[in-house]
Parts: sequence; C-alpha cells; structure tokens
Amino acid sequence: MKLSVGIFLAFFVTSLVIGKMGGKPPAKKKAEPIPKAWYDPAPVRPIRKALQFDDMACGECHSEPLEGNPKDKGEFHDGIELNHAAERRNNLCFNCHNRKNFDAFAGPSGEVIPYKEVAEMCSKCHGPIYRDWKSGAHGRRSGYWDKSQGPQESLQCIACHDPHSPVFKSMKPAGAPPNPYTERGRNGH
Amino acid sequence: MGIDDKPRKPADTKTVSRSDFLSAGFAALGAVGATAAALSPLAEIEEGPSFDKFFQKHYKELSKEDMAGILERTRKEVKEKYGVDAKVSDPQPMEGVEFAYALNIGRCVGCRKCVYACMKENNQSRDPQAAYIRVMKMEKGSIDVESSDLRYEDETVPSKDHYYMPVQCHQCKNAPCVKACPVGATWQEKDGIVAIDYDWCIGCRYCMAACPYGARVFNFSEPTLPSEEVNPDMSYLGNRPRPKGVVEKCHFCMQRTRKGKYPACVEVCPTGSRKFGNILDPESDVSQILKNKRVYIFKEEVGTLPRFYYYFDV
Repeated sequence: MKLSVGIFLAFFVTSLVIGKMGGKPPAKKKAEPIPKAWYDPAPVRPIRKALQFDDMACGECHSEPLEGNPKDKGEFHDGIELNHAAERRNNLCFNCHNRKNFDAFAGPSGEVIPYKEVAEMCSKCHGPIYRDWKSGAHGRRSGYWDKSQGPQESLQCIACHDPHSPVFKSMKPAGAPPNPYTERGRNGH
Repeated sequence: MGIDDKPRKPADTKTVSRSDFLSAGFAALGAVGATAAALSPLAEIEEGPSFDKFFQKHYKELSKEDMAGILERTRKEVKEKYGVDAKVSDPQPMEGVEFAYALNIGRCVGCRKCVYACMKENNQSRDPQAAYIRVMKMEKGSIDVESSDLRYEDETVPSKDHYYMPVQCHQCKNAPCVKACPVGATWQEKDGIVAIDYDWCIGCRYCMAACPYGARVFNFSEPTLPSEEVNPDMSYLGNRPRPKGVVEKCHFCMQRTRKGKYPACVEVCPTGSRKFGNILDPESDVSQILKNKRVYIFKEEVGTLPRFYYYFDV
C-alpha cells in the first residue's frame, strides 16, 4: 500500500512540473510578405498606345514616305539591333514598318495595319502561331474566361516579344520553396 | 427475494484503519493531479470551437440560413485574427460549366510567378510555406519526375537543356483523394472542382497519401499570414484562412472562376502558358486546345481522369 502511495505521489509531482514547463504557447511568428515582383501580373514588355521611338511618335519625324536602301537604319536608329528569325533573315525595316505611314505597320503588299492590330502583321510570317493565338492556345488572356460576365483581354504579340529580337527573354525566377527537411520557411526559421 | 440474496454485513462492521484512509486519500489526490496535468494542454488552446462550430452539420446538409450564419462567423473570425473586413461568400457551381485547365509545357520558363500569385490570392501560410503549385525542372528528353529539381535557384530561367513542369491539383474526375477521405470532407463539385470543407477535415492526411500528384498540403503548424497580405475576397470552400491541422489544395481559385474570372495563376503567367476555361463550351480556349494540340496527361496510367492537361506546340 505504501508503495502505491509513493508512486502516486511521484506521478502527481512530476505531472505538475511537466504541466508548468509546457505551459506557455510559443510566441507568434511574423511571416514575411511576398516580394511584389514575384506575383506582379504586368506583361514582360510595357504596353504602349502607339508606335514610338524614344517616347516620340514615329510620325512626328517621318511625315513623308521614305525611299532608299531598306537596310539602312540611319544614324538616328543605329541603336536598334535586328535579331529576327534564324540567321537574322528578317533584316529589312519595311518588312514590318509601313514606309508610307510610320504610325502603322505594313501588310503583305504595303497595306496599312494599325498599331493595335500588330498580330495581323506578324501573321504574314507566323501563320500557325497566329492561328493558335486566335484560338487561345498561344499567348496570354486575362480578365474573364466567361465573356458574358466581363471583358476578356488578349495580350498582343509585342507585349511579350520584342519585335526587333523576338525570342522570349530569360528572367529571374521567384524564390525556391523551402526544403521541409532542412529548414522551415524562407528565412530558415 | 431477488438474485442478490446473500446475507449482507451491517455497514458499520468494517472500520477504516488510519493508514488505509491516508493511502486512499493520496491515491485520489494523485489521480486528480494526473488528470489535471493530462488535460492541461486543453487549457492552452487559445479558443476552443464555439458551440455552433462544434455541432455544425456537413456542408451538403446545411440550409441557407445555416450557411449565412457560418459565413458571418467566418467573417468575424477573420476580423478578429487579422483585422481585415473580408467578404466571405459561398459561390456555387455555374450551370453548364465544367472547368478544365491546360498548360503549355513547351512555353513555361519556370519563373514560379504562378506559385506566389496563388499564395497571395489564396491566403496560404507563408511560414511554413504552403504552396499549391510546384514547378519541376526537368531534363530535356526526360519525363522522369523522380529526377526533377523542385528547388532550382538559377540566376535566370529557362536554363539550357531543361524544361519546366508545374504541378498542382488536377481536379480528377475519378479522384483518389475523395475516395480516401474517411469523413467526406472532400468531394467533387458539379463544375469539377474537388473541394475541401476545412471545418469538416479531421487532418488524417489519407487524401495526401492517395493523391498521385502530391497536390495536397497539410498545415502541420498554425498558418502564418501577414494581415496586410490577406486577400479579403474569400470563399468558404476556397481561400478563407485555414486552421492548423487541416489539408488544403488548389481549388481553381473558385472565388474568382465561379464569377467568370481567370484563376490567379493564369492572370500572372508571363508566358501565357496557362489556359483555363469551360470544357462544355466548344469554342473555349481549353476545348480548342484539346481539339487541336498534342495533349499529355500526367500519370494517365493511374486512371484518375484529370481535368488538367499539358500540351505542346507541334
């Protein structure tokens, strides 16, 4: 009987001590906000409203149709490097720009294609991609998938591709997920 | 006379010795102490579930009034915990809509923006990090996910001779997680979204073991979410803040998609690799993709019938 009393006493005291030790809940952690660049939905290239060079509308300088060597960029546009298509084959300014209307693009026979309909111009060469873009397999759509509830926007080709160098540019990736076996959280705590 | 017809001793014939009395007393005291100590973790729970929450019915048995009360309660909880005035709703599946998702595996550059846009939209825990999307860096020519790299930290992406394969919940038509759940806390909705009621989940994680895509995340500890980053547009089965001890996963941003909008991952993708829409509409992006492109179903052989398709340009 005395032994059982002793065991119970020991258990009682130990339990009280343990109860006290684990009594306080851990302090609340403060989570870090996600860097804005990691979820910014802005397209990779700025969307402009009109054809521009150095923030000036092309038509401000080029009011007259341009003749001459179609490979000649002229001193003013020397900084533009053309790297379009394999072996830089698309190397003539007026393959895309309209030599008679500098605020627009050139159609297959020099027709005027307004700036906003740039995809029509790109489709001169990129037929299958244009078809995919039209049907929704290529390029980004945003807004509403259900057009009856709100507007749907399709990004134009040049919101992602630089027409002078159209290969999609590499970018810095957002942070890697933490390894749950070695660290907790992004900062290792 | 009944069964108990043995002669009884008079009650006062047994005398209690002093030592017996003391030992019994100590034993009783010890037992009380031990019970108190065993129950002491309960006292540390900041706030137990309210009566309403404890006796809440299953989601499918809730009346409109019940739901209104629950949404109001959730709104109050969010206000108390984060100081944010949230708009908590319970959007229902739309008539004639079944969602499908397509991802252009040839265009994804592995920038992981979808991972964080999703985390921001869906109020996931930041630390420990609960992400619904994982981006696997794969070697070109290989489809072996076992050898993929989840934690690549390249200066720029895409890296040479690699492609990227983001994985999230496939919202399977024949979902193994739904079959595994022993309490019916996860089910398939009419529009194809596999939903979870976080108030009903018991945290057994059977669904996680059942999912071949590793799409489900468990809150092992109390989720942390900075108040200034809380997305106040919440849905009951979707992105309302979750407690510790429940499973969560991608739900196609139902707070957005059931109101006609694109999910957050589609909105943010800088390459336009992510496509979303109504598979019952033959003119939708996803229907056109399934009709015209080469489509790859991840782990098709396990028979889960995903609503998530990978495709590429040919």
